[in-house]
Parts: sequence; structure tokens; C-alpha cells
Amino acid sequence: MIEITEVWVDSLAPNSAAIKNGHDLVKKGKFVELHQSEDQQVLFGSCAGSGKTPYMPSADFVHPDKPVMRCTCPSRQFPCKHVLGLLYAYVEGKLFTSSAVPDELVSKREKAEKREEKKAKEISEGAVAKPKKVNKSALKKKIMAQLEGLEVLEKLTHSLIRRGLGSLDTKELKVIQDHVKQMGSYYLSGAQIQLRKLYLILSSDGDAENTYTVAAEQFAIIHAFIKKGRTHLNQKLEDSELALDHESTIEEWLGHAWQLSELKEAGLVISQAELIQLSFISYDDVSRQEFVDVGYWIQMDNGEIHCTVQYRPYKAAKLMREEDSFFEVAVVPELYLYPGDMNRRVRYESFAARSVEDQDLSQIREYAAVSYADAVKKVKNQLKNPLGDPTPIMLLHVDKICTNEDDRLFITDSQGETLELQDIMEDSTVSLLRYLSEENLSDVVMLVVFGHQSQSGRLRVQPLSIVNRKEIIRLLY
Amino acid sequence: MSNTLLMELNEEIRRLYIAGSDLAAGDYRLKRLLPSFQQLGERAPVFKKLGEGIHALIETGNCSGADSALQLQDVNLLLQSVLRTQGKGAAEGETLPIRTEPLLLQTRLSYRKLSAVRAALTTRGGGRYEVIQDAYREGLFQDLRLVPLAIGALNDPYAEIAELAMNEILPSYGGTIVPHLLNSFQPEGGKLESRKLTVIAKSGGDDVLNVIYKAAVSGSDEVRTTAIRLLGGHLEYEQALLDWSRDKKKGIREAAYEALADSGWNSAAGRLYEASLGKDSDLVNPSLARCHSVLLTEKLTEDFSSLLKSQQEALGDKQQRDELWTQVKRYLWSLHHKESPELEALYLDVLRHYDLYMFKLDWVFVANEAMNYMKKVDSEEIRRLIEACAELDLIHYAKSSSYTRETFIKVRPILSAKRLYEEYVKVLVEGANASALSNSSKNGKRLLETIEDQVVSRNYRAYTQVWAYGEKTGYNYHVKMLPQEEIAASWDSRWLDHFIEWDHLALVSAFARPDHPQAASYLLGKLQTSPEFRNRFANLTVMGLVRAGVKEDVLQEAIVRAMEDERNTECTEIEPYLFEQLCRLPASYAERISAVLPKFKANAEEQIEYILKNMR
Repeated sequence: MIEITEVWVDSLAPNSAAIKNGHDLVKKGKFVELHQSEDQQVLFGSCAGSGKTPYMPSADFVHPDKPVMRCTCPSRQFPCKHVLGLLYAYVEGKLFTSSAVPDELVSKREKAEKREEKKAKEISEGAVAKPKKVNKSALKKKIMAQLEGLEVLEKLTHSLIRRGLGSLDTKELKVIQDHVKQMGSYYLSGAQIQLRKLYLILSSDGDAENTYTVAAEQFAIIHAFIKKGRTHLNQKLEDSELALDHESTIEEWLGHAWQLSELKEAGLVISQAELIQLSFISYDDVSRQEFVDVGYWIQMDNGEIHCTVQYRPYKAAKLMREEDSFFEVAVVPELYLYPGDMNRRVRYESFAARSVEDQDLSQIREYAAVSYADAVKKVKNQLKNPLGDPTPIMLLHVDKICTNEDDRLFITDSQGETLELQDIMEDSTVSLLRYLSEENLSDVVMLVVFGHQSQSGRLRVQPLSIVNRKEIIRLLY
Repeated sequence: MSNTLLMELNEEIRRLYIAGSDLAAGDYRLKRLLPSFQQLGERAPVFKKLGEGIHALIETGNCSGADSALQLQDVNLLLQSVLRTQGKGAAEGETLPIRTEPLLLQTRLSYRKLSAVRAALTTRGGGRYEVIQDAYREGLFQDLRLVPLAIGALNDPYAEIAELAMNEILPSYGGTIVPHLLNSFQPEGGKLESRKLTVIAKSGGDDVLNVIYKAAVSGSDEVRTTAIRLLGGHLEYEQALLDWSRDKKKGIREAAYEALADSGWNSAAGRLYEASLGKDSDLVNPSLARCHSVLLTEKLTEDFSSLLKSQQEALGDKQQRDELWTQVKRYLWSLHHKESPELEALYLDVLRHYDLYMFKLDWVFVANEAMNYMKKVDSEEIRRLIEACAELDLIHYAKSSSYTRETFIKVRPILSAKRLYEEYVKVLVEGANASALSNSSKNGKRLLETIEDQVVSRNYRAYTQVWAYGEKTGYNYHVKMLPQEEIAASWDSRWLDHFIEWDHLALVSAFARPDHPQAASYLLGKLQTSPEFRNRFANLTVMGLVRAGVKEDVLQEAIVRAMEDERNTECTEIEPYLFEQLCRLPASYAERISAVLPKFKANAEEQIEYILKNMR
């Protein structure tokens, strides 16, 4: 018997339109046939499409933790709406008659089975994954090119600074844009992003004074990046192994995309971790030219707040699965950690889900920082690093929420220390607090994002979620 | 102290970024700051470092200019790092307990469910209304996170969205939303505030009347007019509304009139009546029409009646008559949709002097209003009176072009079927015998067109295409005729012969009946001469044949023959009625239908395949 829920099917869908389309197929009765294999492992059916012959979606639950979806439609979205519709029909309790699996599907299943066997055999024979051979001379060349790129970048920023931002014209903006492209050929995708960010700041139509302040901050970041990057690359050249730095984020800044095998090699793997998502957000990062889906999770055995990050480049966004809020506990067999400070990026390949229990919530509440003074200290320690994440996330215990004469809101810890609440992200959450009932405003745990505003010199926090004794109230997503 | 110093340095650094770092050499403002940093540097190494940086920056003039940018970057980097460790987050001064108005809503929806609505509510552009409406119907707005956006939607530049939020979404939260709207309500604001006030009034009940009253007194004009309208019907504000109806501002008076109209009190009726006599007569008129006070109707009818009596004197003077007409129109409008014995007497009098109002004064609206009002009165005498008026119309318009159109449409429901036929048949008889270019012929054609419009309607509408996979919905051309019984009851049976004579297919089909074999043979002939399913004729003809009661086997044979006709090609979709008839074909036709299948294209091909499939 296949046990699936609607939420699970939702989570498979690449985007919300696919959810709707899948439901619509069922609603409009497009499914001509709905079957279940005799061993109750495979769901399959036929669904009318725009063509003459109906499509044959199927979902194979031979390995319940790794179901295989197939469909004969030409869609590049995976899973397609036909498969989703088939699963929704099953969840809704539509009648699935027992029938023999069609030949086509049988042969496909056999092939998949053989592949699995081969894999298992390879592993059992001890064919340990061969250490990847690094082409050192090529790598050296790449490092040299990166150093050269940093040189070019520095030259550009210095010439801009010497001339002054006040007299910047479109010609200069064009030069910046050209350099954005150039950075790509120096293997410096990180530099590309930062330079594009500078370009976006300088070409924005907003308040000029604010533009200059933000630009000066961005120049500092680029400067730090050049300095650190140069030191790091020079050190790497001296190292005979040309090994990756798996302690700081500099590799990512330089444009390295960590592979799971590399993380494993560096020992950045935890086995059997349980994660609960506390908040989620998806946004359009213009300087990256990508949509970014970020999930904030708490690791249940040590209370660390991690984030999952998925980048969806504009060009491929349509075909990629848009991540979503996740309301269960993810039990992850192997959790990969990226180098970093607070809120390290994590990744995993597979997980099982279980529902959140009351004791999970009380566990989460235990992990919250009780003293704001200590929390702020920790945050500032990260903020002073120009290449660190400027908006760290923390779980704080809130004794109560209060206000002042200007109607501003603050959270208070048990020692009476306060922190101002203000919206930092584009989506407003502070205003929602006024809609909450009393029990959610005192003796609760709050997931917050910190942010320093240089003009006012204020360090503020924005609430993302509230954990009370019964539930997680998501103020964001 | 040190923090102010850092901020000061930041200001100077920022200035150099704007002006260009080449100007840093010897900068006197930096020079002025340097000693303070050096002094603090003795105790704190960070300040010492900053001091060194400033010093290097001032001295860059001595070495190459290119260094200035690097020095500036170095100082800036260090300064930014230091500043970020200086952020203050605590409250300054006293804190107070927070007051909230809980809404008791959940936050259980996932990002993907919320984001589409959220985008629709926070961006601009087309297609947003449907997304928001769907979300509302699916109950998504019961998620706490959409509440502020729903309030914000009151200010949407797309008025339909703002109204959806005002009339449906926000009231669905009930009274709990009121305090939140009151919190942000600014009586001096514009449209947004007036919409907020509408929701407050709708969901807040009597508790918020005071707020509305205050807004009506001291808000912006936009808010005041809304507030005044919202006070209508509340007796405690009777005097206030009466006072506002004498306000200096036109908009305020208009709103007050409307509120008084909705209240229906005698005082309100009196005030409205009073205003109708003064300079506001135009302004108050919509409110007069809106108000259902018996007292007001009585007074207006009385005045209307004496106004109509005064026409005698105006008959000769055109200018006077025109002025009178303007007033008459006003009364007509304000009394429209109202009923009273006095009004009935008034209109009866108009009908009694139909000739005067309709033709001499040319006040067609008065005469028609009277006729429409009196039609509702169930009395034989009045029916006869109306008929007499219709007869007058017929005589008056006999020679005009409206005779075969407007007059026909007006008198048809009044006169008996027999009388109508006898009056108008001559048009068809004369037209049929005259040359095609003559006026008589044109009149005949016009009459046929008029009759066709009354009997046959054609439109495109959504239609479930049963033959398509999954029964998709398409838009199809539909022909609809009055039911056969209705035609039999309200039209003279003799019309049909003339329609055949005029070779008017649509009307012959509509009027065809079993006891008229000529119609059946006319239609069978038609199907033979124009068998093409691509034309509209085939469908019409088959509709007529069914009405004519042609035997099923004859009908089916005729249809199949038409399909087999070599001219019947290029059909891409079979019209609904014809398709239904084809679906009734027995299996014995399968072979013949299969044989003609290749002639049909696109949807028509699928339709015939569907028919074949269902035969077996």
C-alpha cells in the first residue's frame, strides 16, 4: 500500500502552477484510466493531453524513499503535471483498478533495477570512489588568471575612487558593466556578482545620498575581497597540493561551487541529523541574476541554525523546482556543511520526513539564546568581517514584546535587555505582531535576522518566526 | 564620544568617495580629526590604526596619486568593520507594554501558496484581479500574513481590486479587523481612508458610529462625503444630516441628500422635496429617485400633476415648452420605479390625452412611461385604453420609417396577434408584389428583419465539446428560437405563408409547424439546394424540419443525403443543433457516414468520429 499525502505531492511539484495544473487535470476528469499494479507498488494511468494519444504517467514506489516518476509527455518540467495529477487522484481516493503493468513500463523498470544492481555491486566490490585526479597545471593556470583578474578589478575600483562618485557618468557605468563580463573570463564569478552589485547601486535612481553611503560600503567589501582573495590565492600557489580552503568562505567568494564529494573529503558531513525548518524565503537576486530560495533550519541535536540555499538562474528558472516551506522534520542520513561562520549552508541528497511533535518544539525552545548581550556580541563578531554574512540569523528567547512612545517595537530578554524590531527584508513581518494574541508575545522563542544600518548606527532585528509551546508561527513563509 | 568621532570620520570618508580620493592629500578636515584619533589610539589599538590610515591618506600627495585610492579603501574597510561593531539596538528611554488586537488567524500556508497572491497584491500590472479573487474564494486570506496586504489593497490603483478588498475580503474578517483599520485611519486622507471607513462601518456596527460621525465632521472632503453617506438611516444623526444638506459645499450636500434618501424619514422627505424646488434641483434628483418615502412620492406626484396641467399655456410658446420639458424629465426620472394611487391617476390622465402628449407636445417619454406604468394595472378598461393608444401610434406612424421597426416593437405586446397580423400583413403583401428596388419592398424586408430579431437570437457562447478528449469547452455560434408553443400562442398562424413567399429561411424555420406541410417541403427543398454544413443555412433548416414535425426517418435520410452531397465540403465545425440531430442517427447509417468522413476537417472530423463511435 502506497502511503502518500497531499502535502508530499505538493512538495514534489516544481512550482505552484504545476500544483494547480495537476489538480485541474483531476478536476476536469482528464484521466481516462487509473490503475495500480497487482503488487500495489506502481501507480499508472492515462491522461488526455492536447494530442490524440493520451499520456501515460506513472509513479513507481518499489523503493518507497526514492519513488520514480515517469511520463510519456514531452514536458521538461519534472515531475510533469500528469504525474502530479495521478498522485493527487490517488490522494483524493479516486478508484485505482488493479491491472498488469504495461510492457513499456516493465522494461523501463527492469533497466532501472539493473542499474541499481550494478551500482550496489560496485560498492560491495569495494570500488571506493577513485580520488578525483586534479590537473594541477590547469589549476595553477586558473589561479594565475584569478590573480590577474583581481588586479584588473582593483585597477578599476581605484580609478573610480580617484575620480569620485560625484562625477560618474554613463560612460563609466558602461566600463563597470564591461568589467562584469570580463571577470567571468578570469574565473571570478564572485567578483562578477559584487561588481554587478556595485553597478546596480550606482545606476539606481534612488536618493543620491543613500546611494553614496551604500556604494562606499560596497567598495569596502570589494576591497576586502581583493585583499583576502589575493592572499589566499598566493598561499594556494605555494601549497604543492593546491588544496581548497575548507574553513573560510573565501573559496565561495572566488566562485567555487562546492561539490558534495569535496565536502565529504574535508570531513564536513554529519550523519543522521534531524532538521526542522523555521523559516523560508525566496527572492530575486539581481546581482546574481538568479532567484534564490533560502530555508532556515535548526539542527535538532545541537541547536545550530543552518540554511539551505538553492540558486535558480534566470535562464533555467522555469525548469527548476522552486523550493517551498517545509512543515515536517527532515531526517537526513548525511548532512553536508559548507565552510562558514554562523548559519552555515547545508545540503543533503535524501531525507525522510516525520511530523513535528510537542517535544520537538520544547527542544527548539531550549536552544534559544537567553541573553541578548551575548547574542549581540556573537553577531557583531561576525559583522566585523566584511566578507561575512551581514544578516545573521539567531534564535532568541523573548520574555516579552514591548513598545515605546514612538510606537517602535522591542523584544526584551529576562534581564531587561532590549532589541529593536524593524523590517530588514523586503517582506514586512513586524506589523504582523500587532495581530497576534497575548500568548504569542511573551515567553516565546523568536527566530530573528540581525541587520546593521550604518546611517543610523542601529543594530536591528526582524522577526521571522515565533515558536510557542504548540506551534511555529511563521511570520515570513 | 568615540562613536561620534567614528561617525564623523565616516562622513569625511564618504565625502572623499564622492569627490574623488585625489583630493584627500592635505585635506584639512581629516587633519582636524587626526589628533583625536591619535589620542584615543594610545589606549585602543583600533583607533591607532585608523589614525595611521588617516595620516597615510593625508600624506598621499607626497607619493604617487594612485595610492590615494588604496589608502582610502584601507581606511574605509577598517572603519566599516569598526562601525558594525558599534551598532546599538536597545530601546532608549522607557518602554511600555504592547497593545494588540488579536485576529486569531493561522499562518499555515506554504510559500508557494502565498507568493502568487502576495505578488498580485504588491505589484502592478494585468491579471492580478483573478489571482486575488481565486485566493479569496479558496480561503487563502484566512492566513494572517495576508491581512496587512488586504488592507493595503484598499489603495490599489485598479479600482476593482480595491473594491473587492472593501466589499468582500476585509468584511470577511468580521469585527476583529476594525481596530486595525481604526489604528491607521486618517480622516484627512483620500480614497484609501474613505474605503477604510466603509469597511469600518460595515464590520463595526453601532460601536463605530461615533468615529464615522467625527470623520463626517472633520475629515477631508473625500472622507466626509463617504462618512455622511454611511450615517444614512441612523436616527441619532437626523439633525446632523439635515444640517449637512444645507452645507456650502456641493459634494457634502449631495452626500447628505443621499443619506437622507436612504433614511426615508418624513423629515428627510421634506428636506429632499424642499431641495428639489431650489437651486439644487439637479443635484438632488438621483436622491429623489432613490428615496422610497411615501410622503415624498405623494408630493412629487402632486407637483408633477400640476406641472403637466400647465402645459396648456405652453402649447403655443416653444421656449416655454422646452423649459417645461426639462422639468418634466426631472420628475419622470425621480418617479421612475415608484408606485402610488396618485401616480396611477396621473398616468391614466396622460393616456386619456395620449394624442396631446405623444404627438402634439412630442413628449414621447411621458407617454411611454405612462403606458409602461399602466400595463401593470390589471383592468380591462385600461387595457382597452392602451390598445386605443397603440392604434393611435399606428395611424400616426403609418407613413414613417419607424412604422416597421420601433412602432411594431411597441405595439406588438399590446395588440392581439390577429390585429397585429392584419395591420402589418399589407406591408409584406405590397412588398412581395413590388419591384425589389421599391420602397414597398424595402419596408417588407425591414419588417421581416424586425420580426426575426424578436423570434431568433444568435450569439457565441461557451459550449462543452463532448467529442473532444476530456470534454474541453469552446466558444460556439448558437442559434436560439422562441419555443414553438410561444409562437403558436402569440403570433398569428397566417404569417408563415408570407415568410415562405418571401423565401425567408430563418422565419420559416421558426414558425414551421406540423399542420403546415408546405413549410416541411419548402425546408426539405432548401436542404437539397444548400446542403453545405459550412453555411449557417443547414443548421437553420434542420431546426425548422424538426419544428415542422417531419418524420424522423425522413429527416435523417435528408440530413445524410446532404452530408453525401458533393458540395458539402470545407466544414470545420458542425453547429450544435445539427450535431445533436446527427448524434441521433441509428447505426444503420454508419457505413454511409464513414464514407463521407474524409470530406470533413478539424473539429467536424472529430465530431463525426464521435458520432460513429457512439453508434456502435
